[in-house]
Amino acid sequence: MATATSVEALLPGDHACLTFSDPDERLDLVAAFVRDGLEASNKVLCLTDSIAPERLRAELADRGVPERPLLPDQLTIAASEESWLRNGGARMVRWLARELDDAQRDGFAGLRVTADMCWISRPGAGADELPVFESDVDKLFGDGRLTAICQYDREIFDAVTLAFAAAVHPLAVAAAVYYEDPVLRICRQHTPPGVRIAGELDLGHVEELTLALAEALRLDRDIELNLARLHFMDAAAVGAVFRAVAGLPAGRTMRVRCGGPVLRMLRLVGLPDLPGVVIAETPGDQ
Amino acid sequence: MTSDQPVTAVPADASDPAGNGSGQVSVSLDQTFCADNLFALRNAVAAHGGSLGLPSARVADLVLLAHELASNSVRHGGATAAVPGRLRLWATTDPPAVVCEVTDVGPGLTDPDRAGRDPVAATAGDGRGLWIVRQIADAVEIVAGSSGTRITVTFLLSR
Repeated sequence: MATATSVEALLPGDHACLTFSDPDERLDLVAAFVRDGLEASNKVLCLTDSIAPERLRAELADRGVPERPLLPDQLTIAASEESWLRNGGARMVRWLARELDDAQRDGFAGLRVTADMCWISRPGAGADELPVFESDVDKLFGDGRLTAICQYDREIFDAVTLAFAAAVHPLAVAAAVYYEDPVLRICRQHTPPGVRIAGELDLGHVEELTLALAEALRLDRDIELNLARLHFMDAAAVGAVFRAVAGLPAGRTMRVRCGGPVLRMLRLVGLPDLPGVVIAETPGDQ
Repeated sequence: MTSDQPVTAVPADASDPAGNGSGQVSVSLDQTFCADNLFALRNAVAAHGGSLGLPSARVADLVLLAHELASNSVRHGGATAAVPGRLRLWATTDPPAVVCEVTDVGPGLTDPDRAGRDPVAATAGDGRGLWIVRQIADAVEIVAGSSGTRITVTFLLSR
């Protein structure tokens, strides 16, 4: 069974699965994985399916991944279905082995691969080859040159496939989630570092908000509080933000990404006027 | 604009908000609340705001205003599942407005006239609820007594 880890804690040779239901969270984690790979002079290969390669490139750029990496040919973004259909399950393993050798030959410290697996649920895509592929591919990780994240969308895959994915991957990558229920989700945001909150936040979850903000401020100098998908925030919740800002040492900033009714509320209570607070206005959510 | 005078009379009798039998005014929402069902309360207020033809930004204001009043009752007014607070919403025609009334049986505010009038210090984690209410509402009336607190706010439709 896969052991939970964070994307930053992945080591060369790790093979992890990422099961997600929030598309933003997936992109956050993929961006962090790509960014860390580029920084560590790895060759990075992103196989995408749910969104087109150009769109993924833009989403990664929005999340702080350099559009032109330092080394030539360091980042490749391609459609995963094409690669798989061209290669098939068993040949895909041999193809990856070749990519690994090429990366070494070209002087990269290693190869980082992340693949969106959602296409495999389509008829005729060769889903029956998936177990063989995931088991065989595991052999490539032995010498620590390959690091990979396989992405499984919880909305698309059945419980059996998800359980299988968790079983064949030694590690499961997850975002730090401080709170989650159908109405509210508070989680760590990887790039830019900070906290992301979606849904509706009120007096009932001030404690989780306080904890998430305190942790973000311990981990990073400047943080982003991403409220772009928050529809409602009340005075009790904003009080926790005021307290966190009050504890911000001079020169450090909290960027608050928000729009619509949440921004209106923040303006009513004067949060944008505080030293250290920078507002990044988003189109209103309503 | 915030006026000190409510633009509509507060009904004396809880079961007859118009208070005069004119039939012009009827309660469109009457809901009890405690800490566990504020989400449902907000949804109900939003639905009623929408049905009054308010634009979405004004519905959001009305929801925030109603929530802050209810939140106050939960945090300071002793509203619980056993003894819930009560929120009522009704429309008036002269002037065209929505009136939102929240009652609880809590001890009430020590200085209702001053509550929420001044901005809260930036270092404080609490106390912005009534400030928000006074910024959004067109009139606020707070009646605090030994048997509880009733806050009635008027929200003009044409603003």
